[in-house]
Amino acid sequence: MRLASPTWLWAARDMLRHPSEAILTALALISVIVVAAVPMLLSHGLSNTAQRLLDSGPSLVVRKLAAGHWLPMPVEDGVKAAESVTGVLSAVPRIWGVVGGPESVTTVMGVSESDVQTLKRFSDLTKSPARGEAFIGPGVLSASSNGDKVEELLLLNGQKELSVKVGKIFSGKNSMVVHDIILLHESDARKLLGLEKGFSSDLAIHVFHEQEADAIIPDLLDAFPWPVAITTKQDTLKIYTASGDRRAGLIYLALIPSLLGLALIVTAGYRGTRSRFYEAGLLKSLGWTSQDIVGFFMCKAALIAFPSVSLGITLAYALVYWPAVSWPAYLFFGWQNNPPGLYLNSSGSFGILIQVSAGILVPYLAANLWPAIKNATADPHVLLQAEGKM
Amino acid sequence: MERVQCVNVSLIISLSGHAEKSIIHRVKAEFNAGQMSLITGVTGAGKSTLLHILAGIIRPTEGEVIVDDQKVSRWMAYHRDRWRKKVGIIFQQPHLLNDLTVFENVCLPLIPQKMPMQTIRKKAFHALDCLGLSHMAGERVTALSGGERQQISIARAIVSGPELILADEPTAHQDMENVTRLMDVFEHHKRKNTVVIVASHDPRIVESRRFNACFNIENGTLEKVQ
Repeated sequence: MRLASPTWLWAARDMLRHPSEAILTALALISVIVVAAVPMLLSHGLSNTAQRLLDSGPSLVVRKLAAGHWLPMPVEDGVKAAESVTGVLSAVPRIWGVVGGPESVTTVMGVSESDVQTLKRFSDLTKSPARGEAFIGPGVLSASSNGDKVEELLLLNGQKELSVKVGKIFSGKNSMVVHDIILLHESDARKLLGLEKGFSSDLAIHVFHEQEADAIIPDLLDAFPWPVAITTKQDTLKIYTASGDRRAGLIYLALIPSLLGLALIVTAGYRGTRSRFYEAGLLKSLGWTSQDIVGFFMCKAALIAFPSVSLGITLAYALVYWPAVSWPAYLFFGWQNNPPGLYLNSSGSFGILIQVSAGILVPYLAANLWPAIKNATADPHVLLQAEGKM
Repeated sequence: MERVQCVNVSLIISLSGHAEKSIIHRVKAEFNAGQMSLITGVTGAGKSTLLHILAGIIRPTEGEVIVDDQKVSRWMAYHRDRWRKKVGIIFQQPHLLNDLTVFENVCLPLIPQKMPMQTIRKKAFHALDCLGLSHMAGERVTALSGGERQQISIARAIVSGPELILADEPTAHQDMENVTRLMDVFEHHKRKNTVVIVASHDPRIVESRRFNACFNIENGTLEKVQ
């Protein structure tokens, strides 16, 4: 059936006979699609994004343990022990820690020139901070995103107190990785965190085969001459997504009204088509076949449903993936100030959109098809008489 | 189509309880192509019901409607659908869709016929022209008088060039000029080898002497009078 065929045109004309009904149905379909698709897309996008971020991180992280707390990791012995294990590609010492910031506790990272390449993937960093200088994320100072003047000096409280000059504030366009982080010169970070030369916070270990990371943990535990705690990428991913999943579970409650909405649309669609029995009888008397009548009602249903579903999934996609949305950060991470624009990984979202579309379209079209068939297959005499017009 | 025959066609309806009522009783008649037939009878005699049976809208309880040696009345729904495509019916009540325009109502039988909109438009205007109605093509049917509405339903019945025209009281609410025009339209279709059957008790039609065959129906029994 060609799109410009008289049946399609007639179906479009028929919609205009009851425009408010068509508009309300379309709006209801769009709403139901958005309500159903957004939590699914968001949950999927966050999980994908977390996976992507972790993919670029180390396979394993090793920290030195003492009774109940962390200890600085001796770099030379640590690297030697890690690299003695078969399957380990490299072991990189990292300097970082949590300190008291100007507004709340914040993460500090010591950066050398060699780290700049890695951080370039997540930010517009071009060089490492100089001594006495700090590069800060937009979430460190709420004032920075409000356009107010930022304090030039930043007072940080770690093992020691350190005052640094703000050399750069990352813009909101950077990844959430640098949202609430302070980058310092390596020596400043050591001073602040109380790490002496030759010690690091932990070791980032890259393995030859990512899937073997779990298998070499016992060897690593044996290789280190002191107790260590080893975190895998999967452990981190679980922590990353656990809070998201909890909130996603709550968002799925939104599916209840969307299901109720769908039930109403389906009922209205069924009743709307069924109530046209007189017209069906008249059309049959005028030479329309049962097939013509079913085709006409389905064309009309399709003219409402397909644009609505297309608009609904476009809207849902834009709400979740439009660069760069910030509401998921409010919702999922509870960031009240300067939430970063999340650049979510949209791969696989097409499948979700197809699932949601089918979940809405199939019941709606079926709700129109069934009464259309009932009308079309009845005797025209019965249909006309039912209206009391014959 | 050569001829439409009724062979012992009866219609009996069930009333409340076990009672039954015979609406049409063993009707035997033959309506030939290129002829105009008139069925007269008082109100309630069964004229409309007989036309509906011929149109495939009602199935007879007994007997057959035979068209070119095929038993139409026994056909499956699918085939009766196709039979109705060949029929142009004018109901006693106009049965127009009130929220459509005159033109749109006339187009209705053509919509599923897989022809371009341009052709549909041309045919619809031609049908309206035949009855002198093209000037009101854009008007809503609710704004029209009873007579005009009936004329629209006549235009709708002839628009697809049917092989059988069934007209039930087509001249109700019509003035003499329109009656003459309508009879001319039927004559025109008759000359194109269409079977035309008119049910009416309008004396202007009965006395027009334009019919090849006249029947009278009384209490469901059809009798040929001419």
